[in-house]
Amino acid sequence: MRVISHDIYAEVGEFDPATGNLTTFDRDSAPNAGQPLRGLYQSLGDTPVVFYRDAGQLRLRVGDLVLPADEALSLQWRLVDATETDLDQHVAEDGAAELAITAPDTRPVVLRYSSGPPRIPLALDPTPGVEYDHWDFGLFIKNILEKNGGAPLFVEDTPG
Amino acid sequence: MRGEGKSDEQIARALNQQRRDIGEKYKDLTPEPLRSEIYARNLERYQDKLGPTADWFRARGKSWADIIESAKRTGGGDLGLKSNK
Repeated sequence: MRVISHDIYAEVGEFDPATGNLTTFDRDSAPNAGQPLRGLYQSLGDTPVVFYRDAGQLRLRVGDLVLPADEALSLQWRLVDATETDLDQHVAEDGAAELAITAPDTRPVVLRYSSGPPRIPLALDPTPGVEYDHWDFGLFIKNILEKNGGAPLFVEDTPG
Repeated sequence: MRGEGKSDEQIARALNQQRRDIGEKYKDLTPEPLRSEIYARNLERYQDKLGPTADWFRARGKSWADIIESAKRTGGGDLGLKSNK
C-alpha cells in the first residue's frame, strides 16, 4: 500500500502490512504513484511508526508491534523538557516529546523523540495553517484519534 | 460564497489560497535570513514555500470544514497552539 512520510513531502513509501516492510522512494519516481493513500510514517526516535488503514481498520505499527487504532488504544503525549509550557517557542534541538502507547493485552510502549520545528519557533513564522502537530508525528496521531477516531483518514481514493 | 452556491471544497480551496496569498505578503516583511529559512522549511515539509495546501491537509484527514477554519487563523504567535498535557 502507498504511504507517505509525515515530515518530508518528497518521500513516499510502499508498505506491506503483513510483514511490516517499508520501502521508501522519491515521490517523483515512486512505482506506486497514483495509488490511493493508505498511511503515514515517520520514525519516532529509533522506532519506525506507520499509521495506516488496512481492510477498513486503522492500525498503528510501532516497531514490530501492530495495534488497532481504535477506542481501546490509549495515547499519552507530553513534552519532556523545560519548554513544556510554551509550545510555540519549542525547537527540536532543545528537547523531546514522549508518546506512551497503551493497548489491551500489550505491554505499554513509550517513545521518546525530537519534537517541534527545527531552528525557527512557530511564533516567528507567519505561515498560515501551520500546527504544532505538523512537526510531531506522535502528537498528530494522538490529536486525530481524539478528534474523530481518525474516521476520515485514508478512506478516499485520493493520491497523497 | 455559500450564497453563491459554492461547495465546501470550493470555499476551502479559495480561502486556503487567499490565506496563503496574505501570508506571502507578511513573509515579504520578514527579515532575511529568517524568511529564506521559513521558505526552505515549508518546501521540505509541504512542497510549497507558502505552507500547507488544501491537498496536504486532505491527505492528513482534514475535512473541508477544518480547512476553512484553519484559513481563518493567522500564522505566527496567533496559531492558537494549545498545551496537550
